[in-house]
Amino acid sequence: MLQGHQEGTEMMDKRTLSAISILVLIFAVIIVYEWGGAWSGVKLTMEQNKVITAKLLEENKIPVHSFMIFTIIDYIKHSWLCLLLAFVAAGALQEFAPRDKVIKLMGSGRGFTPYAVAGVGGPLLSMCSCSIIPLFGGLYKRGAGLGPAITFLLAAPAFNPAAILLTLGLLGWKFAAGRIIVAITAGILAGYLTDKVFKNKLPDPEPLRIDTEPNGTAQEKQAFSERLCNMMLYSWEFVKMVLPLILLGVIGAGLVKAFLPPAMIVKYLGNGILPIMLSSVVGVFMYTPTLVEVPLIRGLLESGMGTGAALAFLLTGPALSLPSILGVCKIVKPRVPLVYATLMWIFGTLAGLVFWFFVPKF
Amino acid sequence: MKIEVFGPGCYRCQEVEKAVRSALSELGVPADVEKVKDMGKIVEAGIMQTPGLRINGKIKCSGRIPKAEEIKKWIGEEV
Repeated sequence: MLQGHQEGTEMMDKRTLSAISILVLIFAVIIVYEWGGAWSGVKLTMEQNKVITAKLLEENKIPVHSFMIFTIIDYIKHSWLCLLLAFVAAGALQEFAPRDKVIKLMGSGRGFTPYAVAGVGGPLLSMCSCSIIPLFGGLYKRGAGLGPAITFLLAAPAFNPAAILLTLGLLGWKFAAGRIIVAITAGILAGYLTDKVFKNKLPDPEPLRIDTEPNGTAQEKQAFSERLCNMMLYSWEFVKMVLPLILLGVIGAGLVKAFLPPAMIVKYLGNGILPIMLSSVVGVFMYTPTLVEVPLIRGLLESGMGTGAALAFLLTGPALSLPSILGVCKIVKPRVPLVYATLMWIFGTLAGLVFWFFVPKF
Repeated sequence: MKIEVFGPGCYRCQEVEKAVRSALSELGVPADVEKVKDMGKIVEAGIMQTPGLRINGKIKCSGRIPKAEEIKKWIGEEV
């Protein structure tokens, strides 16, 4: 992980450049795809789907298993391209992202810079939500400051390119844009406020012995083609890791559509401040693996979930969970996650209300 | 020899453990393989990016799944 120090800046810039160009390419393809009229087609089928579903439900005619199959086919139709790109993006980040640079920037400097780096650059560091806590601990113990470390912890899972791409595919650009803005803002605010609350109240973390830093990890310089190969390998790893989980999410969405009466979803997760608060707090505690929240939310939206409640869940769901809070408790005092979890719940509610105001309908 | 695999138990960490075990059985080297899942211990060890691999107290790699040849080389160095 310290290869950057050995490689020197020239290599670093080359890596950064290739990573950026790959990402730009990916987004260009998406935009062309969107403008190519594909989006209107998707919208139409979505509307038709909703009407047909409602009608069949009224007549009480659909067996559960066919509902599942419908849901899965429907999801594959809408998300295969974005999902493919998401996997490529994940691989590219794993191989090309300038991790050391981001970690260094997050740890150095005072004021706003570390927060901005943590909020925006966080997703470059980690795709797998389970690897975020050790990074949080490392950042904190190496003196990055509590605030930026928390910002990273909260913003990274909600704002990673793969999740955003999948959101774009299954929920549309409004949700994707809303997610990006909200994740960064809420992450930075929650980090900053938690830092203020605990200013001078926490003992300084015992500094880690620096001699434990690896020296043997420096990889030899690799040819670009070899790195592309690595990238594909990482993408494949990511596919193996995430695809079963997404299928689980899709099945969950199918179950929601089959068994939960829409009236109930409208009542508890529809529009209004109470449903938004509820969905925000459920998101805080429920464990949602990366990317799974997207198909799940789509299922709920189709059954009548409010847009505000959906966005609130998209923010707090991936960012926080009971297991993650317990993990963080081993690194800092339990009061700290308590404060930022409460803050995130409030921010989730606020974000949901604002989003509902701008986007009242799915 | 003491080999520790650091990771909360996600897919990537399991892959590293598997790779270590198969490398050991291929080389026929006896070793203590421990899986460290405790977040506090992972951070204590100075691992910032999981999965991490530590052999005889030396961190060999973190943040990626090492290739089989690399693991064999590291084990060879420590024997």
